[in-house]
Amino acid sequence: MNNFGFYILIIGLTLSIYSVLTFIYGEKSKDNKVIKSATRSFYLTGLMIFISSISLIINFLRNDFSNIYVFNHSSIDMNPFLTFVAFYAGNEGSLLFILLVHIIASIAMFKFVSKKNKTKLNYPLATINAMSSFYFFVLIFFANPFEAINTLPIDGKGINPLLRHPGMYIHPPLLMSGLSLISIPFVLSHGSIYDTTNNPEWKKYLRTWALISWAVLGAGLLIGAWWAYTILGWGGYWGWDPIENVGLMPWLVLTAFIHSIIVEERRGMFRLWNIILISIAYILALLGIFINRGGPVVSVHSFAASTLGFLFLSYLIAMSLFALMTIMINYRRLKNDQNKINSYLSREVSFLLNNILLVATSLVVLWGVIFPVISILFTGTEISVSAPYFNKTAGPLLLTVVLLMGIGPVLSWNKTSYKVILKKISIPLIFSMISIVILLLYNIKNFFPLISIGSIIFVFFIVVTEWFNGTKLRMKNNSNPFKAFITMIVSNRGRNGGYIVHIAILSLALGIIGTKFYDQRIDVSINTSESVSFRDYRIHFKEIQNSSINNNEITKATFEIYKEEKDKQKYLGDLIATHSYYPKHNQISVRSGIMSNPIEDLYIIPKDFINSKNMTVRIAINPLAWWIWVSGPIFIIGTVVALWPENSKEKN
Amino acid sequence: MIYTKLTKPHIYSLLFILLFVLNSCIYEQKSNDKLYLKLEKEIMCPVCQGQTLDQSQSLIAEDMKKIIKLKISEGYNEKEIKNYFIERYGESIIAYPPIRGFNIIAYLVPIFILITAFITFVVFVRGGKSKN
Repeated sequence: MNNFGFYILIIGLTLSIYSVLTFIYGEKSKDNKVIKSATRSFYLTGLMIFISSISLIINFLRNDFSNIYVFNHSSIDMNPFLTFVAFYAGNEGSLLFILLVHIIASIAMFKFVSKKNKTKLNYPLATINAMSSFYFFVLIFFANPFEAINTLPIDGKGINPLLRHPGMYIHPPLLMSGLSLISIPFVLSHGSIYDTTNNPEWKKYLRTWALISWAVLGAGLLIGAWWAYTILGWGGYWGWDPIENVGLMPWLVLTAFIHSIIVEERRGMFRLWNIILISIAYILALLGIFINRGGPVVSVHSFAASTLGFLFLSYLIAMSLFALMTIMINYRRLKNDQNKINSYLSREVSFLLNNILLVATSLVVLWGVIFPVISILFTGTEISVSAPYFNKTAGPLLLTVVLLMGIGPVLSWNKTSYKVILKKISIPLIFSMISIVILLLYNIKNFFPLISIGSIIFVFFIVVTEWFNGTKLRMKNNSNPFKAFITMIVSNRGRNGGYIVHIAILSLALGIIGTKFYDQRIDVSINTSESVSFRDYRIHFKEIQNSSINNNEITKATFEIYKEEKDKQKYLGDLIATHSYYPKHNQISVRSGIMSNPIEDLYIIPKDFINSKNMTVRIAINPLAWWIWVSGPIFIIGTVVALWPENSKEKN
Repeated sequence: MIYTKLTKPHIYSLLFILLFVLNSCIYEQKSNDKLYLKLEKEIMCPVCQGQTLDQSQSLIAEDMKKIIKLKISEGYNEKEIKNYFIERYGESIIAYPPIRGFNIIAYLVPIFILITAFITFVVFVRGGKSKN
């Protein structure tokens, strides 16, 4: 099986290189037969990647420990469902996974593009196959997932315990897919460059694929945060770790892009800017993969790291030059916009501001990520750049972007009069002022949360008022308000999907403000059948249960939670915090006990078990954390609404 | 224009949001605990890769947390505690670059990026504005 998988990879490499050459030659010579052959070998490359992935999975399922990769990431007692996770648990497998996503997405994109436009895709497909060739090359010569050992071990090392969590089924693959998917809108943008007829369909493709990669990456980031919150056991969800940052940066730039591509669709402006944006997003995604694969910065995610840094750096530089060259060669043609900006008070200008702020934020994050390396290069001293730095620098910028979400929607394309703006923002603005005053009366004086909550309320009511009026208009011929609301949403999916996502971002922002500025924590040492009071909670330590599963020591602590009201106590339920020790990996994994409601989370982290009766725990109250996780489903709904294809009949 | 109309649903939803926010944000921790929580987030764990103390589960991080608590109870202030750790572990034990010497660049560049962004914005709008 090992040799088989490896040979398939070699065939794949050959096919993809053949495909690169024939696509270029076919385009140059306008020879349809050559192009047909190139396309066929493109599909066959996909088949090879598929087969080699399947054979790695079979290796896992057969517990074939003669395969070093399987030996390192699996064991006999491993739940077969975890095979999917083990597949990408290490360097070699994750590269194969990235390649798999890359080729599936490329083929899907190719099918999705209409026949007429396919003729413009020869160069972009050459690019796609060149990308595949690179991954094949790395897999074959540097990170072969099918490498075998001569002596057959009895059992494998087993999967990293931190990965045994439902979040791991989705977080790493979504993140890797998101990073890998960005190459699709990138090559599509090149397709749009080669089409000199100014065909509007390219903008539709670009928007769709950018939205898909943006949504996948965003969901990956959010689920990663959820995983950290439930399993890493520190009560937080975002540590500004380099790996998180390199996922965030392309996401921010993609956020800019999915806004400004609308300007290009509607007004025929920002063409050059959009191509630059999507190129930056792609380069940042490559940087993400590079830093993931053993780049120069230290990170908590280094379990899948490797020494492939140099290879990926060369690839990154080559692709950056390629993107730059493509833009420079076509510069003259790209910079001619159909329309001009007429007024500062227009939606296009607000989108431009959003774009520039998002790109600036992502550059600031990038600076923070690379600064430790720069400091070592210039001064020789090691310094750390972690959460406090990013909170101070990127935090305010992100808040400004949130505030812009309230201003953008009230502006119309081209030009807006002051009167209209004033009418639209009056209620939200008054509400936002009122709430700031109320918060001040309650002695909440922190500047940043005050401004943030004010902005959140402002943006929320901008959207609500818009929807409220839209629904009301439709209720004239239909008395059912719910039905009217749905027809209103459906009538302009792109825009309303966007608004739904905005609501998700507001919910996220609310949760971040609550947990960041008002969290409370205590560390206590506690005996069984004792109680500890924390604010108005009483936490009764009921029992400790020890068990051993497959030599792993698992300790479960059960707590009864009461809420103390004036003179009585209300029983809220039990919380179970789990602490597991995996001797094979010499690793500890904890599962916090979390009691969640929209107001606050009660969060118990098990620390040490001193003996069978006593343990130290950290008890934390994380206000508004619930809203962070609620934003996930809202975000997905919004994206689906925005992506849902418009019916040509419904389009007025 | 109907936008000026204020309706009951508006007011209800505002009250609803405020209720949540107020309920969760009016509690503040005691100042001693506050300093501890702040330090825990601003001091790195020396053996974990890129984690601050509050994120880390390692033994050394737990020990350092105990030291911080002890120092606070002995009346040391924020700066003294930080210096104590810098002496032992070097500058990289603090989670952000020190604001002096070469490392000031870490803070100057974001400001520079912001200024450049603003200039780009204005140039873009002006250059794009039609002459008529």
